[in-house]
Amino acid sequence: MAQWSQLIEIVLLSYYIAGVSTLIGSMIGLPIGAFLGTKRFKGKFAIKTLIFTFYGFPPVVMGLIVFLLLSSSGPMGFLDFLYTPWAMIVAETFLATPLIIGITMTSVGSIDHNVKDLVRSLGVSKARALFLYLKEARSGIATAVMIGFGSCISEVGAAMMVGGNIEGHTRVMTTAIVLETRMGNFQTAMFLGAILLATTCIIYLAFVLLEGKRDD
Amino acid sequence: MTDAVIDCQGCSKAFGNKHAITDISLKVQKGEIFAIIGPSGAGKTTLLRVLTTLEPPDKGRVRFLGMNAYSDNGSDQKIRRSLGYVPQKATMLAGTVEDNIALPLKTRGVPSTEVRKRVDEIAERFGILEILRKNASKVSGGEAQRTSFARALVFEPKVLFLVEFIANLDPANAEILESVVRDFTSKGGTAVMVTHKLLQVKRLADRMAIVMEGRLVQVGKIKDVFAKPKNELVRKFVTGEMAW
Amino acid sequence: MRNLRDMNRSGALGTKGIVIIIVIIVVLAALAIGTYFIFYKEEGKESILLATTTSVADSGLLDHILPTFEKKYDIEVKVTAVGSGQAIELGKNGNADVLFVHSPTDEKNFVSQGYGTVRKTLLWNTFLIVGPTDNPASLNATDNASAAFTKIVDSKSTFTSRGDASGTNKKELAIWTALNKTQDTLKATSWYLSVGQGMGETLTMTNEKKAYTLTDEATWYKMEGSLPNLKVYVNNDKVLLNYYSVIPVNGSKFANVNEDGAAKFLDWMSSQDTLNMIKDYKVNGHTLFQLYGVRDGAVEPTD
Repeated sequence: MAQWSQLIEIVLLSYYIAGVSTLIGSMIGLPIGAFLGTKRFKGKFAIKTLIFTFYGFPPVVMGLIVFLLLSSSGPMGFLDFLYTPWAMIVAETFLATPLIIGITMTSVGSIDHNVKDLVRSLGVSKARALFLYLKEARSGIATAVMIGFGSCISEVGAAMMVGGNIEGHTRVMTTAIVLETRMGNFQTAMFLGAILLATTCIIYLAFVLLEGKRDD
Repeated sequence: MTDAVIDCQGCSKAFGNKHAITDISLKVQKGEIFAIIGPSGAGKTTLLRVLTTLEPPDKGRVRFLGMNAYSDNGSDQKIRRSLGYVPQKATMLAGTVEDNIALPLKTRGVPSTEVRKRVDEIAERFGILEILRKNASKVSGGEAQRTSFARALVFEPKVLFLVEFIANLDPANAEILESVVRDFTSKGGTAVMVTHKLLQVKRLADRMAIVMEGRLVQVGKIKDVFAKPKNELVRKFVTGEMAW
Repeated sequence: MRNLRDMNRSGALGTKGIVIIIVIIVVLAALAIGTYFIFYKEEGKESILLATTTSVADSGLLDHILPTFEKKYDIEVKVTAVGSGQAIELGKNGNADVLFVHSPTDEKNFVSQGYGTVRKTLLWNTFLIVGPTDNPASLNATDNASAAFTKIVDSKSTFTSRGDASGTNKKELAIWTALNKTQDTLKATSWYLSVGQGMGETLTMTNEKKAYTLTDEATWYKMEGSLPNLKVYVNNDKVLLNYYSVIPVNGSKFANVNEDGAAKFLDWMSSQDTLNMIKDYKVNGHTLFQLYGVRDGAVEPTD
């Protein structure tokens, strides 16, 4: 693994998979989180606990579950996703979504009740109300997305299991680091680790800058 | 038949063991300024939330502009779109002052040039034209109060709910807002205000309701209540001996 | 005053809102382009999934020979490196097209149970018993595998086992079994470490702990340079012979298996040209894989 083009491919694939997983996780998680954060309903306590439990769901177990689902002899085998980036996206989305739901739920839930009353009194549609709540809880939501992304980009166990670390197809930075370490190439492994940290740092920097400028 | 804009019958609401309001019935007529007064903890806030469809009562019913509130047929949303709410604590939403005032117009699909025009007009009326571009969370208490008022009025509601609406204002601005309320009701709007200011009640209100310990103690025209207070505490309030 | 304010207005959004929207559009566009590329990559070309062991993958052999196959047949070979046990499971569940492993007993069962079409043993090398340079168990080059293992037990020297049901692990356990030692009794001791890892990690650990272990030749010669505390002790016991076979997966039960491509792969691997390429593959001066059934001065293996 000495070529630069391979390295670039690995880096880009890592961000692609993490990006898509975070995107899907956000599209599902933000509305659900906002809804759960504002509505009172039966069983809310149970659902909240369930979501928080998923925060600590072992990624490697998720990898195993997704593997069994997508296996040729499994229920979703017809998709032919196993050992492709699609399988990795499935696994990472499952891991990121509870985080995004939970953090959004908590942020929206802690919106000042005066704000909630105000939004309700405006008589807007439910969808518009959710959107306004999301706007009010903007920094909490940014946190939710960032943490969701972090869980994806650093994922290794599930990525390895459902992706297979196939060169040119499903090898990402984390699984490449595992490979290099296994072969005893510690310097290469550290180098990859440094790149992972540096590139992720840049992304978070962009996030923070965009968020910070909010207070004109 | 009465022209009652708001018709509340036998409303009660408890939170756990605490009975916030018990068996309150009142009617608010079109075009009047109706004051709700009472000592703190009397249940005024709860009553207001029940009247504005924000808190379903345990018992009783509320009719608003001829529609039943708290029924499942979406009438709550229609009701809310006809009411303007100026809460005690001026709550600013994320964005600029202009964003806040424009919001009710935008959610009603008003085209943006029209929105701009109406926001400018009302901002000028309330003396907050210069701060339109400011971040709403960074304005002073008085500016926030006026913004909150403008936001409630900009879409020409049928009923205005005001809770201690001149609390943070200097006399000049307070007078402006009070004249706005008078102007609003003279053009057919109805105003319900919760206040503890005796003089404001005398200045502005047509009728008043007195709420004490969750119950309606007295309701009627201002001069009637002032002339014949129902009990000792009410008498002390209307004479100014005691402030609430 | 109002004119000034109008001039400061930049629409409903403000500069920051516009920046955010541009960023979002760029990100979405990038993801869309990525999706297109990846879709094309995954679906575009015919491919076979080769499940092999970490020792084969890490030896670099496949990087050396596969481009020739890919060019000749225009079929891409996707390689996933797992333990032999996992590779065989992948084959049983139709998740791989062809196996290239070194676990003879399991392989024979795989074929006899109908999961594989045929088993072709193509290559061999030998396992090595390596250990710390200070040699606490006093191993000699003349020791055979049982003798070496017996010495290790007697001296209670630290021994690392892969413990992962891999071909290497199974060979190691077979030697212990012949000495009447079960895996459980070994694990109960303080000097036998079952680490549950691949060969590379196990060797690294063995080096750190200055212990003994059983390793395959390919991984050893590839990693030798970074294992300063270890050296080879035993390497020429018939028991230590290590056979590599190619087994195409029987795809009759699964829609996704590329039997055709797997068959072509087997043909090509068995061809003399390919075998010569493999024979000539050297790492640090060592030939890693010998050809099965060829006598050229090497120990002729029998299965």
